[in-house]
Amino acid sequence: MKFVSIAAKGIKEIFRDKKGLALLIVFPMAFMFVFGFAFGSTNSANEPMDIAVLNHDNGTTLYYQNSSEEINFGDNFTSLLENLNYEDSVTHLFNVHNVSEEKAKDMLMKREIACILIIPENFSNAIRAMINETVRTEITSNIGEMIIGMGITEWNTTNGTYYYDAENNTLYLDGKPVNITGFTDFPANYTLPEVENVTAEIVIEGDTGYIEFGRAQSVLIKVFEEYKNEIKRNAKESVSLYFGTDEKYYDFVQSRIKPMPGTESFTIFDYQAPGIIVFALLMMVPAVAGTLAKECEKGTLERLKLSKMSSFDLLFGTLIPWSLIAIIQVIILFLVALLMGFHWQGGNLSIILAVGIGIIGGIASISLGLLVAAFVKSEKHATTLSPIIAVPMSFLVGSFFPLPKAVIGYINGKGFQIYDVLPWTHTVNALRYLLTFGNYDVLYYVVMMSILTAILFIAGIVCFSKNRLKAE
Amino acid sequence: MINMESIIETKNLTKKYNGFFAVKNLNLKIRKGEVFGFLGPNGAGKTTSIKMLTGILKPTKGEILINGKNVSSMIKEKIGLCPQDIVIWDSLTCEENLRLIGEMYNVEKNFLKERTKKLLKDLLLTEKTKSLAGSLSGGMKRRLNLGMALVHEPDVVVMDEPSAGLDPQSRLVLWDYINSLSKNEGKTIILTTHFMEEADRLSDRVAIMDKGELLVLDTPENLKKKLGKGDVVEIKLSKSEMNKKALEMIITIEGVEETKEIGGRIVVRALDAVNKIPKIIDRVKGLNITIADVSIRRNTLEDVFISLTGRGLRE
Repeated sequence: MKFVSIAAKGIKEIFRDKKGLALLIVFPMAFMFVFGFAFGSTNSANEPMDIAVLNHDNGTTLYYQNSSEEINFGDNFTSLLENLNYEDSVTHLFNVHNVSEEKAKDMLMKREIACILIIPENFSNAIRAMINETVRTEITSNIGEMIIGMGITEWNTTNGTYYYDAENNTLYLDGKPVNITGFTDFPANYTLPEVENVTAEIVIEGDTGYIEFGRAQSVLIKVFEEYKNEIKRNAKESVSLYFGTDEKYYDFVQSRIKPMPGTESFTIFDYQAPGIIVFALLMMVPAVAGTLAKECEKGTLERLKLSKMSSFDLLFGTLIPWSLIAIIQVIILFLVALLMGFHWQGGNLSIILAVGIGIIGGIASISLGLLVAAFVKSEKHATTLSPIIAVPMSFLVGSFFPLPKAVIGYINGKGFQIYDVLPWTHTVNALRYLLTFGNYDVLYYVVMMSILTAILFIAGIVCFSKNRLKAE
Repeated sequence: MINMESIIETKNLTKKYNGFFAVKNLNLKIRKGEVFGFLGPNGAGKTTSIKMLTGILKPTKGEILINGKNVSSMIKEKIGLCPQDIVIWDSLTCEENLRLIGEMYNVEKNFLKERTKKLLKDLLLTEKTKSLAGSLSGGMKRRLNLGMALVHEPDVVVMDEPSAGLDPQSRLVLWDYINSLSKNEGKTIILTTHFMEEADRLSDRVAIMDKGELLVLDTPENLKKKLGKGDVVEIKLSKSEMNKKALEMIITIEGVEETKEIGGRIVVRALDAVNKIPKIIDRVKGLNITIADVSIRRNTLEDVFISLTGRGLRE
């Protein structure tokens, strides 16, 4: 339990160094004040964002059991955008310009529009594939219930003859019992929709240095995510209805218009506030690196090395007080942001989650501090070098302004951008989703952030232990 | 009480940096309960030697045995290091500093409380128990620095230049404490110093080092007897460029053991030095040189060092 003593030492050192503590807390707070003042209150009016939509979608045909329907999801999505309103307002969220590509680019250059939304040719086909996939999954998971609900007891399939014994809730294949949970076979007189291997990508084009672009693209992405979720939800509901009743027309795709949560009076500051929290977490890098470099420079680390303390005790003991600072920073900065007019969309749970995410972001910063401390020669060197790394990094992770698109691959269907190798990019996104948009769908960001933080922490431990904790 | 049994032994201990030997083939045995002094000028290899003894530095070659066991498997609580620089946490109080380091050595909680109290008392720091270490005077910091090496009651205490930067009064307090550690508590103490008086007064045995090599190892008295017979006359001439000529004249006087030029002064070691002074003055005056200053003193370890290396300790 020596790490507890090291942690207690760290807490005393941090809180007794009033200047250092002030720099850690007050500096990001000042940032929040400045940004809140500059971009918060002065931009509070609800005005539609001008965007151009280039819809190249060729449409598709949707097949139901006994009928089919021609549909163009590109048109459907465009229409949705045209009719969306700010929350609690009659003002439209977007002013959609249906113009030629040439005209759209010209408008973009003149900053008459915030961005161009390009819908690809196979957009509808990709949506159809998504629906079919949802339907398949839903049907196969509902099959057991269907068997019971429809009173079928025996049927033939290509695999053999199934028999369901309702009394004992047991399914038999050619007389042998089979596991109902893993059962995906379908009665011979029904067909499951085929899932085509089609993917499509909508492109949001614009000037990344233009703040309106950042605002528009973040809302567009959110709208698109909601649109996809709505379609999936509709498909699931239709499947449920299908199994609940008989011989009824089921429309797998519907759309409705609802106000966008998080847009009540969306300001640029609402976009930036979560980023400033991450900026504050990154500002811990010089402090952590400086503290550890000071231990080396003053010889206290050598004294600790001579004792029975292990590398784990030192590094885990260092992690605890700085994680505490991360919690304090997230809470204080959130409160300052609210004071400055931040439109918080999440519930109380979003704050708890944001603190948890802040801790992971903080651990990433501590890990970077360990890495820096492993290579610097003095505290001065650490405090000079660290901001050169941390400040540009805060821009690179999108703390203040949106980033240009730079996809290098795909993970779980999501585009993986070059900035995504940095854990704080996911911290910014997760905090923005939670606090700005009130969207709790942050699992991907939390998982990515945790994996990258773990990698960075291990790298920090290995380098620091090798360079600083071993006998020379 | 000095025991003839050795607690630390080094065999061909060597540390090399980029072709430069910081320590070369150091062979020595340190006895249980003795105060062992490493004496030598800056860069002689004293600190490097003790850093290897405590496991901070890895030897390039050779072996260190503590109680017969290799240093790599040594029990950490056996050794306490008081480094040359003051190594304390400025933002912690004196008590917190001692407790933290005690906890790092797994010292039992109640014992640590008592031990901290005793150390603060012994090191005259009781009044500063709750004061931040950063607010202490230089002498107090150095005493706390020593306390940090002792909190876990090690058998061997290694002190690197323990009195560097201390005023004479604080130095005497520290020397008394080091003496009591050895005589009353039976600790083995290894200290490095370039203060002759410190080595002379505290050490049971002294190892004189220069340029990474052990020149000689014995008790201070034996060293002075063997290598520094007689007393020392120091002469400063008005024209130091005439020193060489004067040295050639003085060495011819019967009973003069050794002559050296150290720091612009002529150093003459001679038996019955008091009676040799008139002769020395006559010879120098015969060269038409004016003598600016003459002094006579008992020989010291520094003279032993000069005799061995031809250089003063601070050169």
